[in-house]
Amino acid sequence: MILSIAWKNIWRNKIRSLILIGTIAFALAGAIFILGIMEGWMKERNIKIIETELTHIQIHNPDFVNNFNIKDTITNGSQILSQIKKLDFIVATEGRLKAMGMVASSYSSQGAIVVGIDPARDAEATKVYKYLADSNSKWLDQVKRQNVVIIGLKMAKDLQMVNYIITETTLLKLRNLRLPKSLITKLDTLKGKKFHTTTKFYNALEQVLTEKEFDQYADLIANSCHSYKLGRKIIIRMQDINGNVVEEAFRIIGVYDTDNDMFDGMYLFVKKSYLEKLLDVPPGTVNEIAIITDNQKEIEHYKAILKQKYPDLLIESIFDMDPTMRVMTSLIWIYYAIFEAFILFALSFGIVNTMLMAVMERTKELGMLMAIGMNRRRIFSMIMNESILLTLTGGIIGIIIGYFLVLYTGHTGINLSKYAQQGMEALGYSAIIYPQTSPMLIFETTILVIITGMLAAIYPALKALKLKPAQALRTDV
Amino acid sequence: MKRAVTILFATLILEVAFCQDATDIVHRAYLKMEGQSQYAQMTMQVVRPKWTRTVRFKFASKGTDYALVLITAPAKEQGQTFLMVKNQMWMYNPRVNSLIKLGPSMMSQGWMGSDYSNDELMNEGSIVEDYSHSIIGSEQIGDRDCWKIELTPNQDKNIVWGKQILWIDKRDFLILKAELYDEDGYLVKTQLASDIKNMHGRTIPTKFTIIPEEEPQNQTIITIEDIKFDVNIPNSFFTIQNMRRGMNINFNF
Repeated sequence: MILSIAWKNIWRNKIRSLILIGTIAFALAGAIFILGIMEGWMKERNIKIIETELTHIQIHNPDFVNNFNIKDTITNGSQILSQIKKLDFIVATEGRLKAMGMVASSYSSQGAIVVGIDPARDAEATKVYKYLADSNSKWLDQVKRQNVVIIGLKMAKDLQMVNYIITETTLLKLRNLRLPKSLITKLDTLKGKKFHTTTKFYNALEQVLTEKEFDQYADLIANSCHSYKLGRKIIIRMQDINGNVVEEAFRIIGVYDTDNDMFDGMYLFVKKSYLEKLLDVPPGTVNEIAIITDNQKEIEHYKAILKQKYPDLLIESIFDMDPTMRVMTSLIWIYYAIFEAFILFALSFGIVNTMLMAVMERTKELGMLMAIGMNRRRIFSMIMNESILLTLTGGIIGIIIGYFLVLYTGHTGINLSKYAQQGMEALGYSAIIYPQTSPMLIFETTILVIITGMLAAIYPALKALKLKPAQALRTDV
Repeated sequence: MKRAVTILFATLILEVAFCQDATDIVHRAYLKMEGQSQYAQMTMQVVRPKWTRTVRFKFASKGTDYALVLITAPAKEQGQTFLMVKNQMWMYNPRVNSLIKLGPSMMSQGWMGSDYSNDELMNEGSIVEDYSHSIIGSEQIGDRDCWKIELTPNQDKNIVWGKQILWIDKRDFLILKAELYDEDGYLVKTQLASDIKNMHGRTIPTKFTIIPEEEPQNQTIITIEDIKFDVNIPNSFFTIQNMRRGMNINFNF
């Protein structure tokens, strides 16, 4: 009864209510969209970190993490591995052989972490194969040769294992990114020329572009026209289990790109069986066990179970290995709430104002209602309901618009590479964002909208309660 | 039929002879700069477009397993020593009295700011054993007539280069120029040798210039001021105790 009166009251002044609904809808659509971008960004990074590097839980020999010595393997590694595989919460588990080493090409050499893994994809907890940079790149199971390696894009660039050639397709791609026309014309002069090192290509770019254009677009241009020198040789040098230095030539069969320069510049993947031979360790030796569980929320619980089973081993969850993950998963909701609270706080002034106007112009009517016996509680709840309905209508429209906006851009992706590719990838974020939203976020927003509506109605409702029926009846409108 | 066989045989012999010849030339050139042990005093100049840096050092080595380097200039780095024993490397800094064993990540840094990485210094492959050689021509470098020899790495060898081309002086078997190519056949860097002098009985070039193809303005120039081959150095010379003595290390062999 009160609810339907409240709803009818809202539409007595259509324009005023619609303006407020529109404001709320607009603000919330924006909030949902911005939070969607953040959510999409974080989720993608989290998934990448889980799939490529940290997984959910990792097991090491406690000494291994301190000095990365190849001698500190997990005793009975293969046995433990098969025991863990049988646990019911395990989705995938993988034994790795990791070693520090040096990698060298004709152009330069650098430090690297060599990861030996089982080439079969379904056996893997790591899914780096999902991030192969182009269709020519192969994964370890597609090649019979033993001495093959998959390196990251950053490392490929550092070792000068990348060719650059500007073609018509490149120019088209850049045109689609809405780069300035004058820039494309300048690049046209380089069309068809092949550059076999990054330095050469950048030098050429520096000559045709202005300094400002070069700073802003060089990386973007480079990334849109490179191809990898697959099949080329790099030399990997490591210490074997006896402390001797072993070196071996590996052929690059694939390049991966996880948009995380720190990872892509450091990790390279080889066949585990071959690495075992090189390092002179018995087959089946493992110094890292990586585990994917069935529920990310239960990781700490699963970790405790494993810890009980293997007290001598160092068992770490993803939150131990990367504390920012913990922040992202548990604190992000507080951040979202604060963000929305600010927007809703600003909106609440508008709501208070509108409701106050609604109360003021209806003084006589309210006096009449009181006079015919409507009690104060009902008056209060009527005004409260009006405010909540008004806010909620705007809120729901806003959430729906925001949701579809997120859905649409989540499908097409928002490409920020034009502005900040290098900076974001250095931080481990992708330059193309696919916004996402979650039921949790929608729920949270709805609750906050209702609360705002309620809080904003308190002052106008109190104002209404203070009216004296006799006086109110006599006011002229 | 008989003739065909003879011709075949002759070409075969020729080929083998030719090959051996090239290998022999490279081997002789290699021996020019090699000894059971050696002592040297050198200057390394790192040239960059905006600055130049000069480092002077004394150097002693024995076989391929032992080497010790003492920096004598600039004053800031004076007394720093590097010790290589087998595949390990240490660095000692007398100012802070700190001894550091160089780990894998430090090995990739350029040695004393040069284009040479610590890693490269320690792991030069042998131009004789790791490559097959063929003479591809003759060319004049300065006033010296040179063989132009192409080196292709042997299949199973761990060599980063696609090929090398060496210009070896016909009279004294000196490598006067070397071009290093990547696997795609692109030139990566050129090494030039000049200022041929007689050093304690050996005629050798004493100035080496390394020019990376990508950044020709970034050169590294090494000048040999004094070098002695096959000197008698005791194994005790290549120890951590000795490297800790810094400027007091006795290089009189």
